Amino acid sequence: MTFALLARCGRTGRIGLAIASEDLCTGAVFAHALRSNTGGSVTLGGSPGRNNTLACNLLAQGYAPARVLQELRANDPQCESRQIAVIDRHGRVAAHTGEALTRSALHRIEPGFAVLAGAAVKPSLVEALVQSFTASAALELDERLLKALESAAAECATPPRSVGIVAFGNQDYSDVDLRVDLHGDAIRELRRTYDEYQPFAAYYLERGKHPRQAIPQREFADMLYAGRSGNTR
Amino acid sequence: MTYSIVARCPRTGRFGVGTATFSIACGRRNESVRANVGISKSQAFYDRATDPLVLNLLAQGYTPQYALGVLEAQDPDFQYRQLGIIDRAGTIGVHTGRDIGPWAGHAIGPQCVAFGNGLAGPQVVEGILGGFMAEPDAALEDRLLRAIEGGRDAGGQASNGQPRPERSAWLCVVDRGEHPLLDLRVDLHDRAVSQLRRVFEACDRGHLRVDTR
Repeated sequence: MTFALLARCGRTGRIGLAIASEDLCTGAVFAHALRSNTGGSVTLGGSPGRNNTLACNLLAQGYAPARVLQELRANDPQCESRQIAVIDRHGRVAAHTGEALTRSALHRIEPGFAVLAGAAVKPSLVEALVQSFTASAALELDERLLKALESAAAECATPPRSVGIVAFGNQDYSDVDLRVDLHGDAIRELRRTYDEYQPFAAYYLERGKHPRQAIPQREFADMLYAGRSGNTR
Repeated sequence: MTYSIVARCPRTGRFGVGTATFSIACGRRNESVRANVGISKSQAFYDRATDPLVLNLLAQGYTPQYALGVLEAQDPDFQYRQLGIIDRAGTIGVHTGRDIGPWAGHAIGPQCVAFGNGLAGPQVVEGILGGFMAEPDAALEDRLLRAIEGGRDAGGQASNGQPRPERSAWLCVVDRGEHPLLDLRVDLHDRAVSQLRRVFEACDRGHLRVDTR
């Protein structure tokens, strides 16, 4: 059981991807999946990583997502065993579910995002993802991706053991990239990680830009945790 | 506070990085690894733009040492940065800025460098190298994990004499294809290095086995 949501934020232009699976380390698909000011793709099934760079290169040279998808399929003898979604910098989407997959595997194309749902994913889970993501357009993309995963959690036949969210803004590296590779309740663990990470994210950025003014991380953490009950390190 | 190793496998040419740190989600820094080019892993008061620049320079044919010179010339805060670089020839570049604070430093081994800051002392980077060299014929990913465990077991991170927990850890190996062969993360855990070992033992690593090349 694996599902993924690939999206572009209509307000900011950020590109993002959320994924969850009963397999381990599903977030390993993030490498080279997204590219700033270009778009991105996700491939489920087999060893999908090789599609990532090719899809971004084709998007960068100007191919529309539908053409990129054609190229990925033409380049891959096993493409009928895979699911693929592609999004470009305009939010245009294309998706593919291979004919060799079970009938329960499906994808959904929506304005500015696509959902891939592998075998044993309930249609109600896909609906929950779509409803949540559509309803949260005012929030930041990374928060929307996480909320979508949380909305899907109740529809999972078995809890995902690994999950991740990644988003790219205008830098050539991710601005959010969080994973849980092995956990009994991976979506909840990703929420815990995300909430802990948020205040540090700003700190890490500021520390790198202005090292001379930065306080040590330990002091920052102590200040942060001092205001909380039951979570002191 | 962070400790890392970057290395090249002398048998296969694969590159790998292992990291453990108090910071959350250190493995999000996947811009630090580039197949067929090398690894540049910056830490301490790092700037995310550093590693892509270094790798772009390596890809053009510049040496790690030259790339360090470029950084030093353009970065007024260079003495707050720490980074380790390895290129496809196995050449090492490493810099530990003098303003990072105690204890920070590095140790160079054959086609590898261990480096860290906010550590218990120089025994930590020596422990990393010791772990890496314990079984020199083992697979790169095994050696990298042993290296990180060696750093932890040698005292790991400390500030003001107090040990500090590793909250996140990362193990990544890349071969000639752009997509990593192995990319394992623990983003937030009380004992991140032990958890990384647990993920490592649980995940399927069959595709990492090497035929004779």
